Amino acid sequence: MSEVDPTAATVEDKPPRIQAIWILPLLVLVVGIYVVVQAYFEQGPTITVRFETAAGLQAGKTQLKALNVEIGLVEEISLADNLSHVLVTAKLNPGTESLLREDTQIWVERPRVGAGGISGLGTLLSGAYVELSPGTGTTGQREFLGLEQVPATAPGVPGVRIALYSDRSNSVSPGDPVLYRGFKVGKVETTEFDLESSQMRYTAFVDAPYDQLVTQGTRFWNASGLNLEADASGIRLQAGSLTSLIAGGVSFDVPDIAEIGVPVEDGTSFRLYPDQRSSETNPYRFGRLLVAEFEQSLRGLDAGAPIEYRGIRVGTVERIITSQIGEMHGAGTAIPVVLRAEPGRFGLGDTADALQQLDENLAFMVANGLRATVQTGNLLTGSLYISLDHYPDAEPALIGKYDAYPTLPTISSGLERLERQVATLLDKINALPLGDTVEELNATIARARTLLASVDKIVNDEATKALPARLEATLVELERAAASFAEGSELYGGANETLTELSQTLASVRALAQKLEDRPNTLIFSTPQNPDPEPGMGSQ
Amino acid sequence: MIAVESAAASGLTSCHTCYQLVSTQSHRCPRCHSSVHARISNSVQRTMALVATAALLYIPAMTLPIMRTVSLGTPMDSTVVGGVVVLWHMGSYPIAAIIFVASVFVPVGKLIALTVLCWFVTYGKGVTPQQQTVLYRITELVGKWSMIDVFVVSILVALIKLGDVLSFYPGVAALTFACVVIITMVAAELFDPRLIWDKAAQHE
Repeated sequence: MSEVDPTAATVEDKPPRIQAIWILPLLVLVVGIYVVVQAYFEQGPTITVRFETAAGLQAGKTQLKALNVEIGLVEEISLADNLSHVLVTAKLNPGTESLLREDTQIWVERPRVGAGGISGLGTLLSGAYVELSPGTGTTGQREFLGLEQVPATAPGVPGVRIALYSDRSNSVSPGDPVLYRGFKVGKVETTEFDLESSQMRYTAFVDAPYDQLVTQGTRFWNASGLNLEADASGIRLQAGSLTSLIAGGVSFDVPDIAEIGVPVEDGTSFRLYPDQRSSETNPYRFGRLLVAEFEQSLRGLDAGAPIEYRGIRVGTVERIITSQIGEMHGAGTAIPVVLRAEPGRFGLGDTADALQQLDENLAFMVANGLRATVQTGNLLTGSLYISLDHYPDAEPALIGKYDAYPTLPTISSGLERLERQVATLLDKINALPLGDTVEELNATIARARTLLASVDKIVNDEATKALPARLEATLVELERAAASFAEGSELYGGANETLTELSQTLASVRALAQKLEDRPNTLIFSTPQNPDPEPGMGSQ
Repeated sequence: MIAVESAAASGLTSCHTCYQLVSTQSHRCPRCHSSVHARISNSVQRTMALVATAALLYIPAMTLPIMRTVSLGTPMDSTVVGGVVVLWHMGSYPIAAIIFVASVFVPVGKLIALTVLCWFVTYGKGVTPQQQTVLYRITELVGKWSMIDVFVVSILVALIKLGDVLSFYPGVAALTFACVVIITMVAAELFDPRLIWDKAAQHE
């Protein structure tokens, strides 16, 4: 090579230095890092929702919407470990944290056809999506339990949510109206069967301002269907509105006899009566459960039988406890009957305080002879009812305890009591020594007969027969003797004369006695002679 | 191998514009008056800068969705690789292969080839200039086919607009992928193949 390398001189005429073009990859790098960092920090929240099924959901496709605004995307759908449900992981857009609250409700919006209308038609073409309805609780919730049914009422809507329960399903379904005197004021939200209590449970929402109508005295009843009743007064047909006739519904009102009370709070529980009439016949919410143990036949006494105090209804028979019938008991087992006494019927008011008052009153009344008895309500059907009344002569008793219930002392009464009394009477009669008595009586009769025979003999005697004639002769003589004392007879004149003389003698004796009184010395001294009175010798 | 003296060694260089042979000493072409350089200045460094840029842009081009399909209201994002996998599972092996070659094999191969060439002309030993030339030729050849994805996306987006029933929207990756292809083309142009021979001459 020559001392001057033309290649070196021409090709690498300048020492290699950092070229300006390196700004380009640097710029890309910086922008890239910025985008990544921003995406990382502005990442929206990821939530996990638990659903029964993932029907209609697709990972990476199904959207999350709030009020139909897209707020996120379902990222992953996986089965739970025990295969009982699915876990849907969804990524939300940045800035949606405020939607994720404690009581946020999430459900899958699908096409639904119900009595209340058709909803979610839009999802027929677009496919199902996950709807989110933000609540009002604290934020920060990331795991949710998805609803299987569309909530009827969005959270935060003013009104009152109440719970209803009934013993059987009354064909009330979610979305059915809640009516007040025929006007729709709310709707039924959920229905479910509670296994523990074996009851249908419903939740219903009554919108403001009608929530003021739901008070403590309110009664709910099933308004769907027809109600036909026939009795002595004729035939009654009850029907709700056409909507409620077809779709069902729940009505409520305050029965006339119940107190209105104050508006209830959220979550208050009410019984759902099968119809309006039964809601009015059972208008009391508070009742004290009591147990009365009866030692007599309860055939004809059913749950629901009335309890009456001197003919006025004060409660209802709840049930008859039959679990202890087989217990060893010499005199037979008393059968406990659970009674429900309602303070409202006692005139104490339908409140919790009234229960206390009722307890006190009952204790006092029992101490004063209040007893429960079983009475025949209907002789034809033999149905019984429980009667409460005062029996001052009953053995003293107090309110006791049976399991958790206070007990009412009982006495047997009615037919049962009568039967017992008759039986006792018969027993006593049986116990009488009738045989001896009859024998003695027979002997007495025999002796009486002998007595009568001897009397007969005396009567038939000749002497006895002559007795009247001799009696008559005696009477004639007596009459003659009486005539000798008659006026004008000799004896009468002599006696009269003697009496006159006696009278004169007595007069002179009286004169003597007078003289002796005036002058006791007369018997010794002679009586001085008074001068004869002269005319003109008087005082001047 | 026969050693051939290069034009530069003879004190001559070619005008970039009109290919007139001019002396290396003159800075202007006597015919067209354009600036004359013996070699593309800083070729290796500029090529590498663009290769690096393309490599960076290639990452989002592969990971981000290249196209969004909205079918009956349901959007679906698809990436290039995801699309290849879907096509492969659907049984469209030729199409899957074409897309894979065009969007993965070719750009990546081109970037690697340019990097290797730059390495050789700077530090390379033991590789003949002929082998390097073959590599450069291949790079030039395949570069023409790498825009396939971008073409597919742009045609679909332009042609199919059925509203809610079926619509296509380009994704972010379509843009970055187009950038990758363009930048690699520029990088290939900026690489001066004469450096391969300069290097060989230097080693002799």
